Amino acid sequence: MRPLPPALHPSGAILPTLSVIIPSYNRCDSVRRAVLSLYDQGFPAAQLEVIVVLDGGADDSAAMLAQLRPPFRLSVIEQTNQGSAAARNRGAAQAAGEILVFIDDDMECAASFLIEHARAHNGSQRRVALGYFEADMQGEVSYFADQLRGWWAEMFRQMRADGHRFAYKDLLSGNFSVPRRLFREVGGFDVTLLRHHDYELGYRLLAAGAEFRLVEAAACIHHERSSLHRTVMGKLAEGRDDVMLGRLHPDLRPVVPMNWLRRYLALPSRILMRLAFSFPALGDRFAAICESALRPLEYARRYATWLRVLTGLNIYWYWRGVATELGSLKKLDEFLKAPHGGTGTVAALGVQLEDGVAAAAKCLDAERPAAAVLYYGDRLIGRIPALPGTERLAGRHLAPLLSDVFRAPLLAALADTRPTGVSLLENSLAELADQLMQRWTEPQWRV
Amino acid sequence: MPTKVLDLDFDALPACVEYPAGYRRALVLVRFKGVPVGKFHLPLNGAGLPREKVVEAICREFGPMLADAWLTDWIGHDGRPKPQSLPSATVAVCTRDRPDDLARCLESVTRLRQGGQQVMVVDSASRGAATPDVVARFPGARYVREEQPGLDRARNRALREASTEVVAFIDDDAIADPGWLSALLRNFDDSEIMCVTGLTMPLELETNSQETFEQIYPFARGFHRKVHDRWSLPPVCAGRAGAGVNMALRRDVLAKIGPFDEALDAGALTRSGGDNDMFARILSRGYRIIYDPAALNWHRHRRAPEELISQAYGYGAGVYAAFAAMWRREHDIAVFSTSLRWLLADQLPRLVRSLLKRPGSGPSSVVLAELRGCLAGPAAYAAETRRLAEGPGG
Repeated sequence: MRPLPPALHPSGAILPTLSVIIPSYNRCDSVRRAVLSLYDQGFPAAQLEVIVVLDGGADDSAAMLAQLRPPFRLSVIEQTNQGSAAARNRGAAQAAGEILVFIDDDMECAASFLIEHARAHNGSQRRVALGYFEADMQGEVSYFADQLRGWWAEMFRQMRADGHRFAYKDLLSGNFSVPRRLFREVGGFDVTLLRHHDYELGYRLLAAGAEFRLVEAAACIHHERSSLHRTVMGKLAEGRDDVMLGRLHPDLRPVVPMNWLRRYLALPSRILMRLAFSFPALGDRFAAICESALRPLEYARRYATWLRVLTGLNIYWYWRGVATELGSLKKLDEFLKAPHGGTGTVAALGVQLEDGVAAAAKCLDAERPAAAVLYYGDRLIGRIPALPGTERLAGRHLAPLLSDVFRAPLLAALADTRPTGVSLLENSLAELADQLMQRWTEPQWRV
Repeated sequence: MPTKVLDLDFDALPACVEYPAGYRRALVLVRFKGVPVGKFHLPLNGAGLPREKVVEAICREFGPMLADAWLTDWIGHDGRPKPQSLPSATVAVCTRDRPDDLARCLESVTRLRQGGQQVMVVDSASRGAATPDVVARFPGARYVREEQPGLDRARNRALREASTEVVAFIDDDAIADPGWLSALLRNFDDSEIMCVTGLTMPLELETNSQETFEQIYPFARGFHRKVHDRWSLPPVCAGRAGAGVNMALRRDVLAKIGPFDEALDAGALTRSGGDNDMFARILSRGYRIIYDPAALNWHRHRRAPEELISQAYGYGAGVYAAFAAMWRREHDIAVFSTSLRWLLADQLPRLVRSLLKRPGSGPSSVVLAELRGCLAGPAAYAAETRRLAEGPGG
């Protein structure tokens, strides 16, 4: 056992014990790379175990893992194929560490990965550390490879953005860590979902009062091997899963994508929906033709058209997934209209902006309300509603909301108080406030 | 008639704005708490400008924009990333036979507000000892000699020699605003952002050539921060993202995109276009370019009329050479439609206006030189790629 490097505990803080859980299915080389990347982490070996759960599969993974001599305890569990959610639960059931670190088998961890996950839980029993990963497209240069890399980056871009309200969808099972007690308290992964079992766990964790935090230093390289066809067909499972999510947690129905897609009235979008629900045989033929058109479009460098067609395909297969679960558009509308939790009943905190943004933010931090009503003096600025499957409001959410959403009414209120001491600038404030107010409508909230 | 360039912060206006005698007009860069808000022309009458006059002029010109900046400041959120730490950076100056300009540039770099960066001067085959002598006067600056001329070759050398995450390029005939580097660096908060460009203002407008250059080829790309990707900015129009005078690149651009095309830009027959081509390649691989006007530097445009003509020619040649590079690489037919649109919507109307001697149109010789450059660009690119393929000395 290596001695503990002194840099680990400058404050005398004791690192928690970690259990790293890696589900794998027929990917011997990948899982080997993932396990090897945990070797030289400088994390105290006595405080670390790695559990690989082989979920069925028929390759050499078990023999390969048996030959490894890692500097930490490595357990290998073999089970008949039950899906990655069940595999993760199985690993978690056996885990002894205080913190469970879940990674996919196609991840390769950066040098300080374990320490960063361990540190992220300092001082809190209810924190969920969302690790970062960058997609490595295995040298593939194509519109699709670049697009997929960009999609992954976009997810982290949103989480990183100032004032992001963490939501159930931010939990990506590829790289996150959670205290074992919290994981068991909420009951682990739901094994009935095909793909979105991580979202579903995210929902229950947030409902249990977990605090999500993006920890970019807990980084991995994600060796991405997906193909365009697989990604597009994956939308079928996502559509199904969103219906199941809505059944499990009815209050999510207003925020799953099918809700705003249903209200999105552009003609091509409506045609795709109609095809998926009423003429799936025709729709599938049409989708196959569109998919085969992507390659010539790329060859002709028609990126904008290529992206439109791909987006259409994604929407179509998503609707197909929804349709397999719900059957008809009528059922879809009933599903979306069904009474759900009723977030409107949540008590909102009144927040006063007259003393400045910092003071108001402090107030939000003290109360952590689900919803808020903003005032400047006795003028109403706007309402921040509760969002299902989303963390409660905190001070850091306020300034970006004021800047992006409530700019017009805030400026109108400020302009009346003649705040700058420069009369010409105050005229400009009033002028701009008038302009903005003419275009302002209270926002329609959605995730 | 020379124009005085003034740099005024609305939040810190002096009681009276003074300027040297002999100017009838000013180009004013207006800032609010350090961040550029806009630029406008202000007539001068020889005497100093009292504060009230300046406030009135600025409010008349920029009222809504200033109000917006004031509100942003009140809220304390400008939409820009606020990373906890900035990436490590090298300031790279590629230079050739301009020791005086280089000295002024390096002086400005020593005044950067942000500390900890490395400074590298790539001497692109300058004659004599003047260039290394200037660099020796700045103890922090590293001197790298590149024997073969060529701006893109020098840029590649800087990327290869640097050991930092980001390399920020500034031309030797430009000077950096104290906040330039940190404003560039804080935008690199995302692995998809390969490049950040900034606002470049004229350092002086003392001659007609400089005025004309600023009118026809301004480096400024507006006063709003912009995020460019290939959806919002087709690679063929990549020049709108910024210019090589004021750009920072991730060093791993070498691995992910590849080096600058050495058949392009100053020192080669193609004369310019290296920056354009790099921006286009970044965009077409799905990466992003940020333009942030808070990253400000000042460029001294060429003073003499013949230099303006030569620049116009070089600009036309470079753009068309970059089109040729793009066609060779991707067979993107957009190069034809874009060049046609440019000709019909911009170059020909400009030529007609200058032949009719409309105010602000500049001499027709400039437009004609640009068109000659356009015609010569693709052939120049072909010649340079042949020369490169034949190897050094070929």
